[in-house]
Amino acid sequence: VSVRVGVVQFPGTNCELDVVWAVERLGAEARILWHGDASVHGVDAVVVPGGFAHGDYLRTGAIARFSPIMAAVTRFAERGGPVLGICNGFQVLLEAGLLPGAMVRNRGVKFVSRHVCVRVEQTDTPFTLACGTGQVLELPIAHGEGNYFADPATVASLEGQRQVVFRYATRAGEITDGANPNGSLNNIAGICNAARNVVGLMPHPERACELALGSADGRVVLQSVVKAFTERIAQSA
Amino acid sequence: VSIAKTIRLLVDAPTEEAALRQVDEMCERLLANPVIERYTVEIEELVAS
Repeated sequence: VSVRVGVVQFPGTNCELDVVWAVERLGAEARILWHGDASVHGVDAVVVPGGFAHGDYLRTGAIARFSPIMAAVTRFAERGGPVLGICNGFQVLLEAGLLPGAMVRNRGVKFVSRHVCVRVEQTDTPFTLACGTGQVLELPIAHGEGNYFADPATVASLEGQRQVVFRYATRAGEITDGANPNGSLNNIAGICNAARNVVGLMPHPERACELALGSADGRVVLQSVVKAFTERIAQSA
Repeated sequence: VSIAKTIRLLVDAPTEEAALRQVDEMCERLLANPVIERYTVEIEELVAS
């Protein structure tokens, strides 16, 4: 029995096959979840991948969150199912209210496409449990609106409840303004919900799963969720 | 710098209040993201001919 990961596909999603490839390389099973479906078809984990769902019209993720699949993903998340939003997928989770806050245009106004370093702040989520605390991952970003914003009370609560999972950092793991590629508050690159089963991040771990791509640091993110379920399956066997 | 957009909608409603309620809900759920955006609504009556 292998772990089954559902990968959501909206019109305009463009990273779903990268995620499928990354999941399959880890020995897990991947299944595309069509945006018009009202079910996650019994998968163990859901990834909402990057792209430009519904052309980013109105705001990134604003239209995608009304898709039938998002109602199913919300129910799955409420039951404790692990959900990962990557880049545009993170933006969809913010619009859907599965994670707090919003994205505004990058400081510097331009689309930024390059490798950055992020520091893993929390390892008690299904997508970071195979990481070490403070581990620095080199991952690619490619976004125009990745400048994380929330009101001061929300940011204080995220920090207080250890919900900031990834922060932009230098290669040595220092949190500096220079390491912040988009102006995100507190160098936030990724967060989780209060229940810690829903995680969103702007960098693309699936695009950094082997050295031929410039970095294999992203493997550990999907490996975490596969490991969590492999152990569970082994225990119940 | 702040930018804005104008969205014009034709709403079928019996009263101005009912129209405002409908448009407010549209703004909260879709047209604006209250975390980062503010909105104002102006209503202009069109009488069906």
